[in-house]
Amino acid sequence: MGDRKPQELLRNHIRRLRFEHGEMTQQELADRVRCTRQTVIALEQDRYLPTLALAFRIARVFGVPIEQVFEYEEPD
Amino acid sequence: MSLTRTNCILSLIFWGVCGAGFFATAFGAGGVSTFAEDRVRHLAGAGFIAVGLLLTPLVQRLVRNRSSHGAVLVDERDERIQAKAMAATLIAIAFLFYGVALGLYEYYHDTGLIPIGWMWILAYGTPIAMNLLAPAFVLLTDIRGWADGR
Repeated sequence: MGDRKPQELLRNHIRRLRFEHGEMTQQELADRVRCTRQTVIALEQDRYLPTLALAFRIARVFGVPIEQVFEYEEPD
Repeated sequence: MSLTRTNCILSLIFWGVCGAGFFATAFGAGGVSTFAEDRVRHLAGAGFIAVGLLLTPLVQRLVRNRSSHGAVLVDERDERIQAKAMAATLIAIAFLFYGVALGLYEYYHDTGLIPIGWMWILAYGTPIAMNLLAPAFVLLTDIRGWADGR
């Protein structure tokens, strides 16, 4: 794990899932999960940690388990 | 640009102008020592505050109505940013007031009297400072990602 903070071990696959679901735009995803496009951008850049509710809404939109959207790397 | 950033920039512009107008009124034409007795300058100063209080939310509302199109305009991330920025604003205002109060004490220590006009300036200056610092901190927090949890 080294010097990495716990938050830095969380990644997501939102961008890939968007493209796999009919090349959904960031605004379309934002509208469906009830957030702003800026939040979607921040999520895709791994800059923002969403609330659990938002994370589940995103997974529900893509029709996949939340673990396939967000990936947590176990510390060593 | 997000609605949050747009609102912050609008707030900074309007309150920047209002604040400049108020302080020019308070410190000009005779200075602080004559401000307390000058009713015209009182009204002018209050007018600048009123313009800021009325015009800023009005323009922000107009911008909001034009850009909504049914999309979410303020979400959980914006609320986190605003909460963090407001906490920083309150601390900054406290330090600012502390600095001004101590500065006045030091400057007028020998005379033992502080012109009463300074009380007006502190009273009106506090909401001006808040309406400038709050959007500035929101912008900083948004741009630097201080509320993003990373």
